[in-house]
Amino acid sequence: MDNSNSNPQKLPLKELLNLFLITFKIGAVTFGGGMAMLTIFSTEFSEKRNWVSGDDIADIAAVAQTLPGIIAVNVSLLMGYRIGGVPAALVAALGSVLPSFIVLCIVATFYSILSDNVYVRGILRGVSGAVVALFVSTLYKMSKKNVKDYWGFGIFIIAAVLMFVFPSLSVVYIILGGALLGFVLYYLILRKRGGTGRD
Amino acid sequence: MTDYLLLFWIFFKTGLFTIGGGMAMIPLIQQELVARGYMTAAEAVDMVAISQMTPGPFAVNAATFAGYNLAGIPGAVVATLGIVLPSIIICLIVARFFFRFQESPVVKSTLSGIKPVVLALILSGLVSVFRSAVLPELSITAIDFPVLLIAIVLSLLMLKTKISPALLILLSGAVGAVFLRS
Repeated sequence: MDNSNSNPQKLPLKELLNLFLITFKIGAVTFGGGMAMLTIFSTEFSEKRNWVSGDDIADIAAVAQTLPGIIAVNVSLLMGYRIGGVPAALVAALGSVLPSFIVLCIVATFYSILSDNVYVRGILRGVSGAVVALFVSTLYKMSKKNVKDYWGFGIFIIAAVLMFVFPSLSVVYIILGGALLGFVLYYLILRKRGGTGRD
Repeated sequence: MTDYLLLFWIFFKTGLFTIGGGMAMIPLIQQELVARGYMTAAEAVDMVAISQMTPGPFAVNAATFAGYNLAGIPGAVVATLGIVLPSIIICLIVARFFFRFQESPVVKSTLSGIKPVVLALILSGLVSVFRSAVLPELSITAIDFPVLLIAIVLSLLMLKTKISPALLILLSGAVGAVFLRS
């Protein structure tokens, strides 16, 4: 999709159904939350279908993380909106929430039986390894889009150190700090000097 | 009726005031539900464990589970709607403007500062899932080697091949059911 296109186009019904099925599939198989979902979103929306660009995904991930609410749902909504406006956003949100809803209603009914079952515990142990891999893959894919120069790398290091040294510090402050640093560095300082080495 | 409204309000508030995702929401939900006598502290711990063990967004799972336990399917619907609605309202408003100003220098500069923080968040997510999956007892002598092997093989497959991650997750579950029963 053309990056300069700010007004998303209307999707035909068939594509909306397709979008629903893809987000439903993502919701049904993703363990580990919104960030783990990103790598599947990137495979399905960008690599397979070219609905959004890699840079769009990086932008959407940053905005989804900054806004209040559930990150995975925010990502679905913003991706959907980018692809086909409000209807697509709502369809994508519904698709990614519905599997949770169905699964949890079933699990809540049977949970005392399920939690002691050896097969269930085996499945969960296997899947926990896959969740680690999802994060590795997301980290790798996002690293190229999210850190584009030494300044970005510096902000990444500062943020990571803050998160590990002060685990109880709210992420909100670190994100706001990043936003402020980005504005001061890239807009006020580097742009004035002309040429930021970016783009 | 007032019970449903209150349930909706608890989850709506939680969805509205949390930035940074599901895990950050859990203490809020726990406090509200346990303090109001909707749930015992032990049930709240189960809620967290089950929401982590099931696919999908963590906070949606927790809301559906808590709502279902309190009032069956209608409770699950009300709680899930409550937790999702703030996302829908806020994202639709922001999306209208964001994609129009995505290329403006101010927005680009600010995002350039946020994106490395997002990457740090992913790293910290990786560290925490690695710890709970591979080092469940937090000791270097108690490494779960089969899980570590799955993590390494799947990382390579996800990075080097075009096999769908969704398929790989299902496969690792099947491998777990066959070989990792305990």
